[in-house]
Amino acid sequence: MADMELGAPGSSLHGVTGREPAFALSTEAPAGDSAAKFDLPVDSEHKAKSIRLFSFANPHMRTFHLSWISFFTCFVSTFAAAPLVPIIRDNLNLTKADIGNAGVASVSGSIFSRLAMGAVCDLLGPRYGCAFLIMLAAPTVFCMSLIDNAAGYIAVRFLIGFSLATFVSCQYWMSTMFNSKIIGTVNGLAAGWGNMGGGATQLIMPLVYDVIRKCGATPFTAWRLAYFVPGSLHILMGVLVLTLGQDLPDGNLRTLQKKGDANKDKFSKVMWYAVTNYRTWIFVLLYGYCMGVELTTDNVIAEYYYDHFDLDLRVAGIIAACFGMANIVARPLGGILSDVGARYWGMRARLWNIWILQTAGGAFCLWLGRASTLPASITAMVLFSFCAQAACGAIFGVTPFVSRRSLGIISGMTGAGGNFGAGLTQLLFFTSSKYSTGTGLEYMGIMIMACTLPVVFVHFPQWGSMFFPPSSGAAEEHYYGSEWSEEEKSKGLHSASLKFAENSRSERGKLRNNAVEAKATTPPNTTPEHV
Amino acid sequence: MAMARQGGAVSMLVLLLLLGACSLPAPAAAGVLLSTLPKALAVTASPKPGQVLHSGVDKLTVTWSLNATEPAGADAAYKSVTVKLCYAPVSQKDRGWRKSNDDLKKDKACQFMVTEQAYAAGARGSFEYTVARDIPTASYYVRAYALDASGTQVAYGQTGPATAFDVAGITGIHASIKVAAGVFSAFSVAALAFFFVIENRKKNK
Repeated sequence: MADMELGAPGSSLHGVTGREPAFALSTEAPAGDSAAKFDLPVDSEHKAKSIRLFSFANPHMRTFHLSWISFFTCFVSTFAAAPLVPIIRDNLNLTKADIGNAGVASVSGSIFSRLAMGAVCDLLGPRYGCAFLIMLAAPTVFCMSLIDNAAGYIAVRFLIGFSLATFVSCQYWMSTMFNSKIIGTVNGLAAGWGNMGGGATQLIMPLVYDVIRKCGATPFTAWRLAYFVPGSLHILMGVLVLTLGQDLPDGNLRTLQKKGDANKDKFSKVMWYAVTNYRTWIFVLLYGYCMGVELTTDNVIAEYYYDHFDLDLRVAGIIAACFGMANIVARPLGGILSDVGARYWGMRARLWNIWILQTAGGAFCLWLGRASTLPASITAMVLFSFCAQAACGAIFGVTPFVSRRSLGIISGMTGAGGNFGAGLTQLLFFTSSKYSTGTGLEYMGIMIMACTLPVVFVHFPQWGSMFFPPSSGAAEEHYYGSEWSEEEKSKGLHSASLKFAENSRSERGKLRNNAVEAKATTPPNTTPEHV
Repeated sequence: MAMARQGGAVSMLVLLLLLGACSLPAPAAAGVLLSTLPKALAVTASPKPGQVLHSGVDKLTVTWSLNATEPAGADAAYKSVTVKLCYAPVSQKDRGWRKSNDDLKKDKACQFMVTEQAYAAGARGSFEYTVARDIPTASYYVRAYALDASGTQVAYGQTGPATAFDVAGITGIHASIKVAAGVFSAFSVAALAFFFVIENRKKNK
């Protein structure tokens, strides 16, 4: 049964965190068992219950691959300028401020486009949402080949950055195809592999540039031609999504239209509970300093290696690529560590996990800024990338528990916080000529460590915080129930939250849960009621 | 199972990186300091201060000879001359990647080679240079280094940052790029519209 109607606030972020039941689009199972025709085991909604990574079978795995590769492509085009900046800055006569501002612009656009993307997916479905964005962004990528001054450079990078909203369509699409039990893993993989595009582009673009140069083009023409590669990828993926993709496991787009726009929950209420929960804001800040610094580093690291160590453009690109490519394992690993820790010590382990990973990332960033020899610098960079990306995964292991009613909006805000952090750190540390990029990295490392401290203040009454145990007598039901007014509770609107509360008892950790079970096995003394 | 696989991939990646990093060249020793070199060459360049040269099209003539203030015979050690195009301070502002450095190995202001040729003692050398197509738009002056037999700089001369001239670099945009970008973009939008219209029609039937 559909839990959240189409158009309900936050419904577009279905499946982002993988804890909520993802019922965005559902169909009635057609008469006769057609589950047999699917390659993977499916549930009653024909969503896959398992994932087989190397399969391209229709519809589930094909969707998975189309979806994450589209997201990957948008990352490639958004950060395609970064490894070529040493050439572009001479062609367009850029100053450090121009380069920094363009970096800020490239990550700011998606703050807004991600919010709009939710509505687009609700209206048109994730397949068209993805295709629209990726194919309408293709002209902006081609525009990059035509610009000849700093203003044009900043404007085009801003416009290309809008395409990062494919994150939303990717997660949304996965949630229509995969069961809620595995949606967390699926979305973590898709997000991590998509983010990898920021690393892959540092390999691809210098390579393409080199090949074009060898064919005889001057440097200033070669980089412009190189931009045709990400642009063509956009068109290719858009066409593939439209021809091979489908919105739902049964391919039935009509049901999507028939459901209508019944808002089950009031947007203002959902927004209110998201905004007034202090934990939301702490995670917005934290995500800004793991995902945000990852995006910033994607933008500055290739130029840093080119200038500071006098490396060839291609070698600088290869090293820079290692930063983004670590996403292939690092982000899912963060989520896994979070889950493993929670199995024994509950939510407190998840919070400690975040703090340890992100603070370590900050320390390695500080080392990276200071390193004066190449091997030390590369080692610091790799360790920094692992810790920062694992922290991203770890944070999305906790956000599902912050609120049940406002989960969609909180996930969206956290994601936006990442982009905001990216813009802010680039503006503060990599735009002014007052200090070098290396010094900027040092300061960024210090700021990461400082801005991770607020996680100690995240306290769940029923589970505790990093330093404090749970408040006595607090229960999950009370925490999640407090998001509903008495009137709403009397109407039974909070039933889904109660169900979630019961399932979330696992966050107490093994030790506490074992103690509770031990008590429960001794039968209570009851006097039978009888007259 | 997945975790073991990921852990293995992680350690492989780190190992590869460290191996690669160790095989990279060690940083070189410090080079000659500009402040220790005598300004023994008199260098002139044909462009007037503020004149704009177009890369790929315009030419400049650079000449060098022993400075009149130097004693005759001081240039006995000079075997060859390299002439470079250096960024003027106005083009170095806010651009840390073009910064001058006294250590000539670390100096980034003089990135473009005009010519390198043998030095004729007592004579005036000159060279006519067509501004290369990869010279970016900026202000420049000309500097010449006198090298000894081992290739180390032993003297220099320059036209000076005060008399810098401008170069207007190529944009790199050809008409063919404009056309291609237009065609690809139009195709993208058209393909999207095509699919959307076709599918809507199919749905409404």
